[in-house]
Amino acid sequence: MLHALIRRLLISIPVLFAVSILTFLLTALTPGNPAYTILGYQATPESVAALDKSLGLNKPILVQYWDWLTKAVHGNLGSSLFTNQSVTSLLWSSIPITVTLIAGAVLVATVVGVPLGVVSARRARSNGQVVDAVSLVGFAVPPFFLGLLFALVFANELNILPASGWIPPHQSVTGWLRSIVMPILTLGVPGAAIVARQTRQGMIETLSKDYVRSLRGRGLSEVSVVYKHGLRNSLGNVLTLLGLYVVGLLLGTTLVETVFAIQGLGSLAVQATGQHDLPVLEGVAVIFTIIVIIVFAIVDVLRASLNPKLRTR
Amino acid sequence: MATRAAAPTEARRRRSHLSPVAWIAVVVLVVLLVAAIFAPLLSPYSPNANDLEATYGHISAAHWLGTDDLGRDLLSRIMYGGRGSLLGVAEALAVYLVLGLTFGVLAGYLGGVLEAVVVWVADVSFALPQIIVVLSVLAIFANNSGAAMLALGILGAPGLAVFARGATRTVREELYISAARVSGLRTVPILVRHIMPQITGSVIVQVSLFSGTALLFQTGMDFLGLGTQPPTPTWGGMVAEASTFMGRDIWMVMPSGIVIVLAIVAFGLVGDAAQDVLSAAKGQGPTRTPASRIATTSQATEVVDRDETLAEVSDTARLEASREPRTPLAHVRGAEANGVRDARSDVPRGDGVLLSVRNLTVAVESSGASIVQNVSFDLRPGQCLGIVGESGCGKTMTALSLIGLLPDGVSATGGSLTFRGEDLRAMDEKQYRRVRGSGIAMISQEPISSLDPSFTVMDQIAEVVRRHSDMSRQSARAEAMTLLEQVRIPNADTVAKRYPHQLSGGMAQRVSIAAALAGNPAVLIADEPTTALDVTVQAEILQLLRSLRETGLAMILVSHDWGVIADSCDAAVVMYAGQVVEEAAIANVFEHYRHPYSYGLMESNPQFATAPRTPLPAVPGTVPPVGEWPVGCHFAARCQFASSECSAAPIALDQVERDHWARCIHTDQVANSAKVGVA
Amino acid sequence: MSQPTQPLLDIKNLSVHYRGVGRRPFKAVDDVSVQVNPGETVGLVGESGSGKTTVGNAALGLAPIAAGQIIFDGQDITHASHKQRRAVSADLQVVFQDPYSSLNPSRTVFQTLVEPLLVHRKLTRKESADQVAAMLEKVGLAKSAGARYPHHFSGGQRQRIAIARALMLSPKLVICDEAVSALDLSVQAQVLNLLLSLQQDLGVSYLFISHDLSVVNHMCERLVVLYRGRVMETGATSGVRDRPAHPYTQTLLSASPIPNPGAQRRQRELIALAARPARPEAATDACPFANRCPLTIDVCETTVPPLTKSSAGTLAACHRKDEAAVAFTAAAEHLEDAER
Repeated sequence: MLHALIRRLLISIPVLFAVSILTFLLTALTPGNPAYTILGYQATPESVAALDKSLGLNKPILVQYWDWLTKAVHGNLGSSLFTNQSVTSLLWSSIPITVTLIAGAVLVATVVGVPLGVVSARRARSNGQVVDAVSLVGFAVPPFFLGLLFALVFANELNILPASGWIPPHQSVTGWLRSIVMPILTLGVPGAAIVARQTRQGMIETLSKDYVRSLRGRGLSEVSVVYKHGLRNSLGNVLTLLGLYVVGLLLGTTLVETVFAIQGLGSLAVQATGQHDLPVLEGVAVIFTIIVIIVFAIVDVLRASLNPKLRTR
Repeated sequence: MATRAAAPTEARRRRSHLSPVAWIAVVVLVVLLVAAIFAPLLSPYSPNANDLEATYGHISAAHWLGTDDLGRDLLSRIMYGGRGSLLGVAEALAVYLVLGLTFGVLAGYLGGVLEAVVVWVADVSFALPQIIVVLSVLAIFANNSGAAMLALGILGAPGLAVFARGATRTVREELYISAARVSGLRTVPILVRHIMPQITGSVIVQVSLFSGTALLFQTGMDFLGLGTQPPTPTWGGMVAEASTFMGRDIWMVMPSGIVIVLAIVAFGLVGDAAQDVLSAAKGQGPTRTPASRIATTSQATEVVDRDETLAEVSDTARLEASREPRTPLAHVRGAEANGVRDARSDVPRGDGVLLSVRNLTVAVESSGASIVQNVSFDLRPGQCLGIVGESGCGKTMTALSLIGLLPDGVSATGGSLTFRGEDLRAMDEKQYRRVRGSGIAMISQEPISSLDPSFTVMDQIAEVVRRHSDMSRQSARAEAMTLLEQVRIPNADTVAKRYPHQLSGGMAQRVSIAAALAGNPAVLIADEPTTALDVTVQAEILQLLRSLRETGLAMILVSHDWGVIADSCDAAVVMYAGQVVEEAAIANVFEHYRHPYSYGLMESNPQFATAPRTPLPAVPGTVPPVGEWPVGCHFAARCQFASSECSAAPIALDQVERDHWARCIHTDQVANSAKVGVA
Repeated sequence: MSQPTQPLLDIKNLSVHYRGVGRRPFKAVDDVSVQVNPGETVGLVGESGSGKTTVGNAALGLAPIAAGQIIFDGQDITHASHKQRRAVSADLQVVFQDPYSSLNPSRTVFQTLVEPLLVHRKLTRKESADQVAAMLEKVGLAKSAGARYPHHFSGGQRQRIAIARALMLSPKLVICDEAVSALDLSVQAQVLNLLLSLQQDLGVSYLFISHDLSVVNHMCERLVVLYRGRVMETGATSGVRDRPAHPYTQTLLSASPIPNPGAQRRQRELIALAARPARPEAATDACPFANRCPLTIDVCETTVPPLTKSSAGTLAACHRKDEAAVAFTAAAEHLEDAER
């Protein structure tokens, strides 16, 4: 288990570096000057130079990167080119929202997907094809379209949930719950579909293994064969899939937060992209990367705890 | 034989290539592509032609998919929109394929530093949030979705590379690659001729998944307004425009939304179809992974290779058979179905018989072809009965039907199985489960893969002990230790803590035996228990099995190895092409055999060769595949004694002397020739 | 063989080491010497992990050679270049164990068989086709087989195709790596007969690698017995089979069951006499068999025994080979007496 964690850490450090360098290098490639972006194209050269200096944009690119990195390590990610708010504070207010959405989606995907997959694996083939088909459609409906459809049904037609917005839980717990139902479902339902499909395929494969026949031959109960032995040996791949699903969710939240007008990390990134607000975008990149690293580390540890081959050498 | 087998297989292969659903998916993709490419020629309107008279239109003759808030024709806009959306996918895909395949295949084939680097880069790229990179590109190259999609392709490529590397490695291990290298073939022709065609299928699966993802990104960026700017239509942009008018009209969002879904589903279906073709090919044998193939040579040839129908069946009906309650099938297809009534089947079950098999017939459910026909024998307490024969003769299927664990798609269709006076075939799954482990237990050919890889030796054995007793956890573990010592495992307490992958083959087989004994069974079925083991380890395991019989355990030993049968059994049945052809006490099987097949195998055994390096008296031909068994004697085509009567009608299993049965009308000739041969 | 001929294949003190990632290098083959003379069949016998396949692969250029020398037909091919290897490959061919993996499933039999010709011979299409057809006939298959794919054929037929591919260029030596192990008994006899008759017709030599003593005993003129990458015993087949001097050879022989219940029962008693449970693995400079050997004495744990002539006539790597040979002969005589 420790081995798995160390390995993950060894991969994570270059990932963080890669992300920071990549986003930073892209800054250097930016056509045009951010100062113009801020001041507008009628700005005088003097005011641009002054702004460049205050932003540190006149230094060599490596120095700029080093400055950014040392500050970043101390929690200072600079400030938005537009609102002048500190990036850290922008991020702090958005992180809980996005993390809630991701956690909720993973919860829905797992709690719905795994049992569905197990049940369908044990049923006839026709049933399994239904799961396969539903799962494929689940994968295929883009979150922005699914979100709109949910909004259409639950907000426009039935009028039981708010069409958009985010209510913080300290303001109203029921309001918070009502506001997160649709975004989480939009992200979680397709997740449940792909998790169900992976679980089903994994279970079918596991249950056709030699040792499953041997377990049956020893007279073990069907519950033990399917749930204790079968499921345990199928979950490894489901966990890997969940890890990749979370990476995919980062695109998903970006779209869903925009659809439901929620101020999370995703919509922050979209605004920053539209406004060429690179410090904010870099901040979001760092947080997204950290989220992925943490999730992968959890997946690695869980997989190692399930699979002795990953633990013992 | 090759000629006969060829026709149906070829047909089946071609059919299995693409299902109707997959064809529809391909058609959908082609239609979308054509509509996009030829939009200027095909679209009924210009994409930006306003018609303020016809805003928010639904389906109509003039506007097939309706109109938007400005009265623009949605169909035309979708056709034009496809150009940007699909072009983006194509760009990403091109980069993805070129980079991914080149590096993946080379890394897989050459290994070394390149492979290490590719794997490392892939590990890093998996943890890199693609969305962030795509957004960064868009932040810099404003609204340039082409650049963004190129970045996506580069980011995805390591994933494909790592996948192609894995597939290439698998193929590289195949012996025909070694053979090609030994022939002096250069690397590039090996890659092109031998490796690329083998990995294409699995690459298509990856490509289709990636295409779906790419389209999701492309439309997502357009939806967010970060890609191509209005009024140029894009699918994602159209959804975004429509969403602002949803309060007023809900139709507008549908055409563009559904087209995106349709395209991604189609990509997915193509991938699924490729997957299906792949797994169908796997079932056929040729492209199974080398490890599994070598490991299961003897058993797999019996179940999979010789009988392709069976492989197909287990694929389609995989889960039904073993899980649903086993309803006792009517005894219709018994002896009569085969047209002959064996005298053997009329022998009444004697006193003290533990397990009695009469007229057992096992068949493939889909085709009805039988793979075991009219097998009858008795097993007494403490006796060891051998079932011997070549692969494809039904030995394993006979053994599995005794414990009610036939593969999916195969079932016992006739005859009776009586264990301790109870009819096993009349039992439902729940009752059968009480017999398994505590009445009849089984060990199989592959000791390591017959143990659950996720649990320790102790956990697995203790679970069986607890299942068959009401012991506490503590005493079950103590009992498991006793069992491990009983199967003579040195340092049992350390071995108990190990996982299956940490055991040697011989050790794993001992653990398997311990697990089989945990329910204190009366009968142990050992299916090729030593085939996968080295000969010195085999001797130890056979010794162990022999010593277990001293406790009164009865045993059915299935083997293709006549030496193993001679070593361990009191009596044996010889099977050929689904039938028992000879049954006798062990000395008679080996010294006074009466069936030409037993005779032929004995003669062709190099251990009995008259002189080294001289031709062996080989039996010509091969065991006929399931479904192609003749009406008459199954062995007639290969038999040196065959006469016209042999093929005319089914031959009965008749008594040649007391407790010695043979399915042959020329037993006297065999006896005479054998005497000559031995002398 | 009146004059001392040069061996066709001369493997001298070969060592092959595999190194896994993060593991200590594994000595698959350690100081092994094997010679094959023109027209001869030499058997390489051993259990899994004995290195027998690795020796064959080293000769074929498919294994990393750490030390030693391989001379084929007068040429040093120890570290042959691609070009040299290609030149040698016309004369040095292989038939593998697994008839399923050794043929590319997506290429027809004709495509498979013509491949060596494309590499080595400049032939017209017609000439190639004729040669393929002739070879198919030689291995007992119909000419029409060329148009089919491997999955149309049974294991035995596939092995015939693999043999045909190996013989397409009329090689001098064919390495048969467990070439009949995956085949059923009746088909195995057919393929063994085919190999013997092809040898008579073409004068090809075989290096016959197998775990099956009955097969190598029948096929080979000389045997090399391997255990954990080292040669335990070598000599003429009759000598190794009937008067083995190495306790490992003896163990191997008495462990393979005889298809005759009476004889097997008596042989079993022999094993029971010799049986000694495996002890923990000895140090690296011990005899590799020391921890399982019934005759182990102190010197076995500290010195690797050299391969020297035994009183029975074979070469054996054992400190107590003469005592072992005497003991085995006595037991075998006892067995024969019992049989009478």
